[in-house]
Amino acid sequence: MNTIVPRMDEPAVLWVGDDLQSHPETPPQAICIDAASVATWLATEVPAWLLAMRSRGIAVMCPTEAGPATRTVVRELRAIVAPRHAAALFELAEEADLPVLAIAISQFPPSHTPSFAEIAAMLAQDSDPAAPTLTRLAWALEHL
Amino acid sequence: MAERIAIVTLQRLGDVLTAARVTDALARRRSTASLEVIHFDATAQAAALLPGVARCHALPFGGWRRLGRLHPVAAMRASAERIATIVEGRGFDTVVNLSSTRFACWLAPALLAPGGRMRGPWIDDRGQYVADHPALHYLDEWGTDRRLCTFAHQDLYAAAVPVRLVGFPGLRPHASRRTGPLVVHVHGSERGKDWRTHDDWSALVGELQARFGRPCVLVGAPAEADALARISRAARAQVVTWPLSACADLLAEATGLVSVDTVSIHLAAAVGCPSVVLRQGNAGGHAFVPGSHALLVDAMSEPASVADVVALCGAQFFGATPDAALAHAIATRVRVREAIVDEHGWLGMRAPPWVHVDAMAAEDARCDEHWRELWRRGFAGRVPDDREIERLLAGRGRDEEPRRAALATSATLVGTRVRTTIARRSAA
Repeated sequence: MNTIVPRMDEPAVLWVGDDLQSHPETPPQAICIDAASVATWLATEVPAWLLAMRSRGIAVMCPTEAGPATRTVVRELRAIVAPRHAAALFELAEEADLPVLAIAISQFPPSHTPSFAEIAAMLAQDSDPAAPTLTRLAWALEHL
Repeated sequence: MAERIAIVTLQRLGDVLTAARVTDALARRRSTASLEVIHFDATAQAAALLPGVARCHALPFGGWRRLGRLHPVAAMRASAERIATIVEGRGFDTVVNLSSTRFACWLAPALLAPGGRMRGPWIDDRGQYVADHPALHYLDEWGTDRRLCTFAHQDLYAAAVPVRLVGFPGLRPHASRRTGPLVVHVHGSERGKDWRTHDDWSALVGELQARFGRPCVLVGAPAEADALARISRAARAQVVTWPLSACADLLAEATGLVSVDTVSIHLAAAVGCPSVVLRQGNAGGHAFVPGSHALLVDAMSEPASVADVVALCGAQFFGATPDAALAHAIATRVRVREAIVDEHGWLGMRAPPWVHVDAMAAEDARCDEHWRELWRRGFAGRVPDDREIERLLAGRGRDEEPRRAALATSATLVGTRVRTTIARRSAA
């Protein structure tokens, strides 16, 4: 699993289920893992290879008919690998080598979940040469 | 100075095809060093057909949306990396935006080199929308409303670039003689644009083959293959769900196209294939005129009947004009006009000589001409004089009331001038 090449324009998909590859809903190119392994990660430590992929986007998914236990571990893992609050987004922006974005996000309260529009407005106040392009991208994504 | 130009065409398939005239004209300019196209990944087949283009850059519409739903950093990172790859550290001297969406208007200037210039609509650093050509103001105010708009959408964008409206040789300038099949495109991008039932299509295909002795080929998306197979079964017509480039080859030799779909009608126009375009609802009017060689059939009280379409195909593809009685009957159900290029190079519509035109339709056409003249001069920076305004206000066409109401609130120079004249007249 350490050799996974991150996709640039699509989120990586972590598929949590007991049937793994054979399940008809399994998205193509998904990384498959059973719910028990995820529970172990949550109890001990989430693997570094997975955390390293967070800033590129990881969608944690499970089959529609998954039971409550599977849904619970999916929800808990999602909160770790796909966070939306500013404190975690700040870390992700730094990991992504986007310091101007990190500074903009650091202006929000840690528990706030900023929208693209809010991030764009914050970026617009920065005088860094990289800020105008990031501001445009944030506004564009707000309207995608 | 040799210009590196980017064309931003972040639209649907049919709209991307209409960029062909712009890319061809810009590529022919001596000042152009290279021309690159930025499009959505779903329109890659159309972008690949655009002439004069050195590179096509596909933006992942769905991928970026999915990343954005996870968290904003993922989408920001992916888009920043993609844009950096496209601009290659220097950016473009000119960016031409052919899309009016806010996404495109925000994104397009991010592709500019320092000191570069924007063409088409965009949003400046203060968040203000900028449209530096009167044709874009018209587009913004009057849109594609079939009652209001009297210009083809693609002409307005081309005029704003600006490129010459005439002289585009098409995607297959040396196409062979039209001895190929009759091509039929059943489904459009929206169900509201569909014409009649599958049984009616089946009857139409059978009748076209029997009447004109040419085979029919049904085209569509792979997802439509089963439905097309059912339609074609009785008539034993061929069904193809080919890539766009193969469809262009097919249309380049086809005898004609019958379609409700904007992609195939624009593709047919680009390869010089005559078409009968069955338009329902909002698909009507001037905005979606694809190019010359098209016969535009706008539903009025009801869609054209199978017999109507067969007769119209006879006229359009084989020169067999319907007799006066049939032409009159058709005109009571649908409005039939042929696409033309007017003496100023703008696409327009007029009734074919064999179509019965009643007094109301004649007045509609006369009013359309007055509005086109008024706006065309407005695009060139000329405000209308009193005589032109009087003539406009005297029009009695069916769409005059909404047009005058729209003009009353228009922020354009033409709108201001007309309001002043009306106020002066009222005061007198």
